[in-house]
Amino acid sequence: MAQILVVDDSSTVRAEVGDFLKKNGFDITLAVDGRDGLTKLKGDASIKLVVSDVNMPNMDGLTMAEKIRSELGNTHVNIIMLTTENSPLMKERGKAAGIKGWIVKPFKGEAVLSSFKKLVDG
Amino acid sequence: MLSQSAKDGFDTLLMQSLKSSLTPSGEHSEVMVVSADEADAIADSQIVVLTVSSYLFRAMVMFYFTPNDDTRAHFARLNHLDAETMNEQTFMDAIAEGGNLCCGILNRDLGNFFPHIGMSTPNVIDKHCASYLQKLNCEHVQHFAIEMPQSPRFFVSLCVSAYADIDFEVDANTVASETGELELF
Repeated sequence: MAQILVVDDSSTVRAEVGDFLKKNGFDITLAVDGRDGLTKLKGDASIKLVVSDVNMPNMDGLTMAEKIRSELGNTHVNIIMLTTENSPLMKERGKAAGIKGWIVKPFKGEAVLSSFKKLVDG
Repeated sequence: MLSQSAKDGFDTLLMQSLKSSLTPSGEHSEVMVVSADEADAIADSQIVVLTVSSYLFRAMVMFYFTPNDDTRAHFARLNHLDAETMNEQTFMDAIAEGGNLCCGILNRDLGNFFPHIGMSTPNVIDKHCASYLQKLNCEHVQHFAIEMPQSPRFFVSLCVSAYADIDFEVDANTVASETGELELF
């Protein structure tokens, strides 16, 4: 049972983001790419928020977001992209897939903590 | 062909991104250009290499490192991790992520001039591979060092190949865009 799914191919980012969220009281689960993220989300109905990288092997984060809405039919989970990318075209694609927001790396936990709490509680 | 302004622009943007990405929060760093002779004498054994490219150019960025305790301590501080609990895989991932973050910033900043741009994922190669760089026919090669009080001196090389005439100007005083904030849609 997890509240937040963190998806990133970098073990460094998974550790940094995951540790921060755990220290702040969230239950988390981790995935190494978009394909793994889809599987983890499918198997855990308690996940309220997905925080995902964009550029990953096997399946990128935007494709995962599109499949969450279309293949899994999950229209309620909040999706946030955490990425070095800041391209308007990518953001438009994300918006079309129903993602909730965008964070440009590096991750600064304190800057997003209250928003994450609202997205998990809401 | 790269104009001098474009060469300076690549250098300025990389120096800014190095400072932003490789300096642990709250610490001070200096990034400087170093000579080719000094670059030839780099003793580090490995390189993380990434490319940022468009159909007009390819910029290859190489981060030299030696996997030792000092490097481990630096990247642990940079990523808010415990150096003691980092195994070899997470250590190498942390170094690669440092390069990824740096080139991500460079990619974003170059995107202001070149809308169709992308970057590679990081790869770790042996330092001896640098001997083959001349095969790329790079038009602009520059070497940098980044110095921080509690860390080893890291070296970085930039090699730019141009496929067309390229000219752009970077204002070194432009403030970098905000990172880490959540932009809600």
